Amino acid sequence: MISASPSVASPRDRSTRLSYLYGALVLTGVGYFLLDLPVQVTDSYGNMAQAEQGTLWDLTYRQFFQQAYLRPLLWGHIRVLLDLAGSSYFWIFRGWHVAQVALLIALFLSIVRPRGAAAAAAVPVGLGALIGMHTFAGTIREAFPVNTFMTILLCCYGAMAIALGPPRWWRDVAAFLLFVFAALTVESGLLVWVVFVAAWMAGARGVSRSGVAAQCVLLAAYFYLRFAVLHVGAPGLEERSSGYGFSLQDPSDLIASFGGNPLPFYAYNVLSSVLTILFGEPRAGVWVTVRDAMMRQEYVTPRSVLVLACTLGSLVILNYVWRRRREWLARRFDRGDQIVFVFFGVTAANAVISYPYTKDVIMSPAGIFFAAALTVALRELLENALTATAPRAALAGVLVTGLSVAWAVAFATAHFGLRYAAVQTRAEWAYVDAWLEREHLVVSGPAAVEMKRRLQDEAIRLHPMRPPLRGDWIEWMEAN
Amino acid sequence: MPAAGGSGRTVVLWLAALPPVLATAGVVLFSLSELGGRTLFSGGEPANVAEAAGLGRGAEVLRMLRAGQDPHVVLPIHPEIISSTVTRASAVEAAVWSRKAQLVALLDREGALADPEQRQHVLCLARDVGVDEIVAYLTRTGSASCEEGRTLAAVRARSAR
Repeated sequence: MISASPSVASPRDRSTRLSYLYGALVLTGVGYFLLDLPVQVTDSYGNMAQAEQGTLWDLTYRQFFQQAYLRPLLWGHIRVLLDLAGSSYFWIFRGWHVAQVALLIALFLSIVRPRGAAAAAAVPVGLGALIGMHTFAGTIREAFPVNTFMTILLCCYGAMAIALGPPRWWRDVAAFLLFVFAALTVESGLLVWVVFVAAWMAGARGVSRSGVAAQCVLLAAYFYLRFAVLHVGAPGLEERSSGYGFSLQDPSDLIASFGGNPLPFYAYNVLSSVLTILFGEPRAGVWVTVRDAMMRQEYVTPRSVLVLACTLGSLVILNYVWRRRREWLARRFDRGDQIVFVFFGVTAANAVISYPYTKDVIMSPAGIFFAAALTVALRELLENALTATAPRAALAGVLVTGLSVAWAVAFATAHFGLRYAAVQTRAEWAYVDAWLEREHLVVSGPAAVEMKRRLQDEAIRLHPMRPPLRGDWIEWMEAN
Repeated sequence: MPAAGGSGRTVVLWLAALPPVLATAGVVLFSLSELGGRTLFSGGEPANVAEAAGLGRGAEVLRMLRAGQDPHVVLPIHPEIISSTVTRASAVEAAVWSRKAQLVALLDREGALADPEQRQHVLCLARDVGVDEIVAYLTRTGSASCEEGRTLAAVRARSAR
């Protein structure tokens, strides 16, 4: 059933080493910009103050009895890092974020397993898509103070790496633990189940049949625990704003429009979530690129470049599926096919669980599998171009250049987005007291007051702001 | 990048890899340059607390205040920050040109406007410059009258010396 193509089954070569070296270079750049970003005020300081109360066990246990959300291990995760940090929050929380990105890049490379020149040439584009994808921005620009979405991305890639390996008993155990950890961290952790099942359907046997069956039992147990035992429920329309058409709608607007029958709104969210991966639009449910073009006559924007990048990437992936259709229909999947197949499965499932409201970062699991699938598909396209007729090779060259340039721009834009976020976060810390007053938040207790003082000191004095970047093209990129 | 096959078609591999590799190299060079003390594509750091206030950078103002800089001392300000006619001002004065009431509030919170005379001086300057938001903030605690244009003229005259 599984037949690996020569290019992906061949042993590690110079291209593999070059790819890992390049991955380290990418991490150097992203890591530098990530370490320029202090721990945030909004969504971080409050969570940290809350996580510090009581024991680790009490904190985690209490989270089993919340309304709408079931995320006990998210809080446990924050608490463990808090205990490790002592009073030096910056290096532990920001360092942890960099370590997570390092692990993600390493997992990406271990999954796509670059072998040969074509694969090595596809890796920079794939890493460009991994970091430059709009769904990825929310996993690096903010943290709470641990970016939960990033944790789930690691779980999903971890699941894929486990599934793609040779059958071993310990992989079943690892799969079991990974699901429990991911599902009890945040709701999108359930996608780990999708990765294991989709990979198994495509012939990946790293996890055994009984291991996959255990995943299904765990999934059923999760729903039983959530809805029948703990009565946690699910978020409704009143929870958050969400994009619809050309604008963002407040919860009150959503209830006014869809309160009677939310199904069309849910369907819109699911469809939008799929389209945003394949075409880079709509963004969080809002058709911003179309709006920019039609209403503002703005055609060349970072968002339209991203639309080009995603669309060309999708074309390359669909071309791959078309060329491999006979193998797929005969269920003869190689490693590359399995990656592309799981991409489709994760995208569909990720879109379905985004039904209550859609947001770019919620689709980040689908985004990282898009990057992996694109790398596989591009490698195949490049291999074919090497032996194609001159006109076909020229056509491939044009397509590849457009794709590569568009992802290079998106990749660079992601870094400027980080610098912009760093400036904004420090401004938030400068005005933190005014913000607390405005929000009617009272910092009570000497520990919380000391934590605020320390975090502000880290953001303002110990790790001061770098000069903001200037220039028309910088502003163009920051408009993303 | 190792070449696959000997034909000119390997150029397609370079077309794929080169743009993101160049982007990555650019990012790494930028990082190294900044670590070396020079931030590319930036106007540099403000030289003092007055420049930081004129640029409206609350975080920098706070950092410099905590480092001991005096917000009332008149300091040289680069002409591009406020204008060519205002090149010497204190941080509390320069904050008016940032047009950010929250920055004035920050200075107030840090005790820079505790002296009623200083407060009145900044209020009159805000009226002369026409920053209603700052005027509204400073008049919350009461105000005396200002002679129109006099405070602004004094700051400009100081710069012209």
